[in-house]
Amino acid sequence: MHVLAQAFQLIIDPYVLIVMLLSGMFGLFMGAMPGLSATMATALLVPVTFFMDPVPALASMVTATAMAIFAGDLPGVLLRIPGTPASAAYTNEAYEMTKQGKAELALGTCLTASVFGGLIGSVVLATAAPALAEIAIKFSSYEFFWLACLGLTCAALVSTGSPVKGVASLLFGVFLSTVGLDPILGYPRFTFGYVELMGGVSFIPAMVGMFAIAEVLRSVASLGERQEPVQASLRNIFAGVFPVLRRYWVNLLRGSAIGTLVGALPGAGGDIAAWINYALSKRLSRTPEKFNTGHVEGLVDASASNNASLGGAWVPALVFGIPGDSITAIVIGVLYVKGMNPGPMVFIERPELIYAVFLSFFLANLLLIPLGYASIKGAKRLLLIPREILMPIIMIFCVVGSFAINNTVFGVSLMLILGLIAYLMEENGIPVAPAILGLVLGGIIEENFMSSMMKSDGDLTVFFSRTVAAALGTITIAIWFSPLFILVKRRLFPARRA
Amino acid sequence: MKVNDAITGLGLIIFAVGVFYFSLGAPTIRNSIYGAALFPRIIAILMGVCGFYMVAKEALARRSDGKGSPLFSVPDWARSRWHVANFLLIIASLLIYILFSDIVGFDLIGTIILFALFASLRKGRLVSSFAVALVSTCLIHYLFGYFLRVPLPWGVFVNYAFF
Repeated sequence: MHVLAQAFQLIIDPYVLIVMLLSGMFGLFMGAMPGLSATMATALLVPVTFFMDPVPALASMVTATAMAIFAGDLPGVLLRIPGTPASAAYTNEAYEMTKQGKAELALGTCLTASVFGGLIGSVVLATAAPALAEIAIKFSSYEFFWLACLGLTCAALVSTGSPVKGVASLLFGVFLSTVGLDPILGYPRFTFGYVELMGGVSFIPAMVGMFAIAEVLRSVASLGERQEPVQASLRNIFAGVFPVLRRYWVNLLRGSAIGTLVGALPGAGGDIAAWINYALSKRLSRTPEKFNTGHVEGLVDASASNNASLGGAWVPALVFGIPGDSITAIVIGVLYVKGMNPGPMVFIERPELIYAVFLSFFLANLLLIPLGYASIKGAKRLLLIPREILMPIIMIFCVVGSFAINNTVFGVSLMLILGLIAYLMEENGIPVAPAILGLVLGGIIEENFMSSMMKSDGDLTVFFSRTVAAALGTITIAIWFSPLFILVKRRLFPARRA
Repeated sequence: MKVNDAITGLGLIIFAVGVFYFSLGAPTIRNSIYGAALFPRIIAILMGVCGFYMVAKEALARRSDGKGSPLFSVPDWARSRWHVANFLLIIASLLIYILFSDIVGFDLIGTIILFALFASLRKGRLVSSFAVALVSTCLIHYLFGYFLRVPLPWGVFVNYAFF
């Protein structure tokens, strides 16, 4: 209790609170801009935190990332352009809601579910960090391989339209992840002599191109032809949210729990958590046919899991110094700089600082309510700007965001090429979102598969040799073959006519 | 531009063949059959299967009802010169940025691109288009260059760079 009181005193310092407020606003901007991301927000805060004490430094990063992850939903809901990869899983669904005049409900649900998920993630972080870390650390390459396969499978499951086209899109994304140097042998693949391609296809230009540029092209092509129902006012964003959350309270808890667990796995993150939760929500829903038509249920799961995964990602980072995601990879560096070497000893040597970080998680997620509300109210002004002005400006933001990744125009070239490909894909009913996840997970799958093969001298049975790996593998393969099972079952046991 | 699923399937098959071909010669891990070519080949095979499925499905649909969807269809907007021009202008703007931004600089090229797009999309209103283009570009350069330290090129204005 004494330690908790000390931690509380450290957090309620006016300087810390002001730092959190400013970081929150910064995080909202970074998350809402296509081309910028929560990881970038964290990276940009590092030099600023050099001059701060440990508590405000870490509190600023926690707040910025919590805001950024939610803020990715804003352009996704209003413009069908996800601000962060974690929002890409449900951007289409949320935009369908906006087209039906339900943007308030979509944004209010995303905000409230994010707050709830973030608080659950914070509670788990504070109470179960060492225990969760014990589980997470037991995950080896075999478990990661199956988990990444499961993530890819979920992406194919939730894609709109033809499943075959969804799989084709996924495979295209996985192909993009193979461009560059092979992760094990360092052999250049599909680079055709271009040095820039040796680093692979950067994720941010790909996402910006495939979502934002394709959307810009679509908007420009349809200007003046169809009158889209523009939702010019967002009056009460909480209207209707509480009945939704009351109705889908199981989804809320499930999304938060799975988000925290997936976030705790080193290398996994909110992106995978959102896809898995969205797919699970559709699979377990009583009304799966309503998905992809502007149905709010999937948003509850996925939004909650995004913010919950942030807390989960700190578990292996704090306890073992192993990053749970790209954000905590940066945070670990800051922890070392501040003399809070991650590991079990930090809980003993400087417990008040660790508990202050836990409290900052709570506070950041509570701060999400007023700041998120204000950002939504501000974002509505986006809808008042004529598309003739808005789309070119979004294009320039995308150009700058793609440039900023490696400070070369190659990122802009990638953005353009993939934007054109994505435009043609969507014109022909091939969904784009699975390609993005394929790009994210392709590298993880290959790296873990190849290192598993090296460890086991090419023995494939090792993927089922460990309990968790066997369970994940069985679930994944069962999902792969479930359409066949259903077909055989229907042939053998046809439904009786009424 | 919408194409028949059989054309899409054919495209996937050609792409798959290309991926398979360009992965030939990749090394393997010592004493193992697995190597740098494994995943590209798996992707190529699966993509080829998807392609064959789409071609076969379209062929069966044509056989069963005698007509399938057209091989190529142009969207309605492509019949409007203005829409086509705007569409091509977006692509041209990005190409011009890629080719000339390092030489000319972000401020100048961004202003030109935005001005061209605003003027075309708004069908005129040149003065306000120019003003918005200039202000937007300078603001974006300041925001990203000064606060976020993104080294956007100054180009012809490099002697006047103040951050």
